[in-house]
Amino acid sequence: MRLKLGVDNAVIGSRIEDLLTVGSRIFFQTHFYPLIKMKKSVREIFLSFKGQGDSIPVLLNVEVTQGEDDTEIHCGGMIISNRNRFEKELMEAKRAAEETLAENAELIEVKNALLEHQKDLEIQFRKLKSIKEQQQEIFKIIAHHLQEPLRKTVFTGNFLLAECGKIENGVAEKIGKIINYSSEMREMLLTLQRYEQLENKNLSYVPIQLDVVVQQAIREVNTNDKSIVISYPSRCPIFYADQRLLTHFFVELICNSISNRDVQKENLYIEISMIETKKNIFMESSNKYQYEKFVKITYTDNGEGFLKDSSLVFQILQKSAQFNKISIGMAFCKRIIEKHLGTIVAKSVKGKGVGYTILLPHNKPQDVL
Amino acid sequence: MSQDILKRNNVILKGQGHQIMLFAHGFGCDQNMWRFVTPAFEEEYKVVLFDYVGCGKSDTVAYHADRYASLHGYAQDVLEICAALEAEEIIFVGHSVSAMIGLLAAVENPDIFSCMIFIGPSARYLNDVDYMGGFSREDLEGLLEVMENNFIGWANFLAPVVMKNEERAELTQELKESFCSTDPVITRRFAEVTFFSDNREDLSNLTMPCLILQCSDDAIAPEEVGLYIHHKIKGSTFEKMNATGHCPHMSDPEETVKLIQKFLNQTTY
Repeated sequence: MRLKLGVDNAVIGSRIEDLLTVGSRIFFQTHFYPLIKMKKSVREIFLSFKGQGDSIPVLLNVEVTQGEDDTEIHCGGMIISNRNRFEKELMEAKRAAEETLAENAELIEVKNALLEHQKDLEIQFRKLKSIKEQQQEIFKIIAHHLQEPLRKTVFTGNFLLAECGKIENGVAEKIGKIINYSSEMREMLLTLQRYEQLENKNLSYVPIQLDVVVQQAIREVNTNDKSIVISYPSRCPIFYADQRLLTHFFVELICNSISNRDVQKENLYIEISMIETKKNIFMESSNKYQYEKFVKITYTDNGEGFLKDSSLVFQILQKSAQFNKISIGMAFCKRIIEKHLGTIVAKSVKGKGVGYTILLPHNKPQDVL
Repeated sequence: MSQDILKRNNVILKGQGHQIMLFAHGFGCDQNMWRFVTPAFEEEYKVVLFDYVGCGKSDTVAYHADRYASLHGYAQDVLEICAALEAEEIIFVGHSVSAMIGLLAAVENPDIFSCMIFIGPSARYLNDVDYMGGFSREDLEGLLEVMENNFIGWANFLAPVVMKNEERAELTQELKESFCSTDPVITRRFAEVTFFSDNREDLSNLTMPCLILQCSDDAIAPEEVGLYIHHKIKGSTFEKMNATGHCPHMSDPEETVKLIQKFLNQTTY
């Protein structure tokens, strides 16, 4: 044996794993050692020893006996070169047969799954189509048909105020209020119209540098307030998105942070950061897995936080009846991310500020889905 | 749902404490390998043990080749267990490949973990330009061959196992016990995912206290690799152990426990 291994007496006292091939050494560490440790006995384990020329395949039995002061490890083995060759042949044949079998089984399974999915898709498609038609109808009413009576109300109100100089002050004030309400409502309708347009917009994907987008958003927010400090990474990996919409997204977030800032604090700090990560692109389908690159952007501020439940932030209609501009803005933000096949999650601690976690696919969707 | 996950991953809870210490086993074994170290933490912590899908006494039916073709799939196991336990402030202890699995989980959802403890971690096993992982491609193919040779008796039952081999259940059980793994096909795939993974880019995304336990003379995760990880993870603690080999939690549980306790006592989170 010593001759075969190419070792002399100096080998006595060294560790058995040093005599193994690298692959066997890993197996020794990950399987063999834990087994001896836990079961104190191992049967017919295959390991390859480094030989003079070729490696030496050996089958080993190990028995551990616990004496009073020490532990003895008894180890017996035999070289199985011939048997090993024979086994290799068998394995080869077996592998080929198994591969074919597995491929076949896999193909049948995939085919059946595909058929099921196609049926599902058909049903989903029909549902979506009908929902979309309804939605468009409603948006049409909101955006166009409702605008007209409102416009007329404002016009008539103004006419009354201008022409009938003799109205009592109290009445004039009421007319003024009617005009204001109507104008506000027109403003909201315009926002909704914008929301609808986003729905039908095709994204134009370009390489995005996060710092460039954030800088542009800061310019568009156009504030001279020196107490607002916005930090963002200067060099970020490039990803693909619609630059215009993404800029708009950050404008909305920043405006939101400004209007919800904590007046007790001297500075408003906004922190934007980004890392690359991997996510399963099948977020809604169970049992489908394909991991692709995503970018994870986090946005936090030290403002007041939301006063409501974080999960409601992105809803268009708030329960508090006040259908205000900000809530529409956030719903709009969510749609921007969803149109990119990404996700956005909000969390907020009252008095500590808000945090958004945005996940966006690294590449254009046709490259992924 | 949460009960399903706990059953799927054979989740075992022990100990009287409140804060959760989640122990994740490495490639080649299952949660049993923690049995020499966990008793030391049971008084102060809630010790959580589990088997990855495809290992130990997990539910092999839940194994999905596409999901577990990436360490991200294994990280999902960790995150799903944490969610099922509704746990927060988790201390994660990962051996070998579980270090990187824990890292991926912690980068995906940093809020639920308080710190990471890596035992014998490696960010990449294959050598690369300017990086010594310790192994060449041929070395790792040699491992797959040795594994195959060890599962040769088992290989005869391979196809039946895929199709649920009920009538020879006792044989399968025996083999399961003698190899500490559930299914040779899954074990082989786990080996490939583990040893051909590359998580060097993910290291700097970790933003919590982290302990790296480096064994002396570790043939699988050499010291250079441990130091590489230490330098890439800002603020991490590096401890060189006297214990040798790749499984200090089995070969020298005392030292392992001592160093983990030292880290936990020093760390403020």
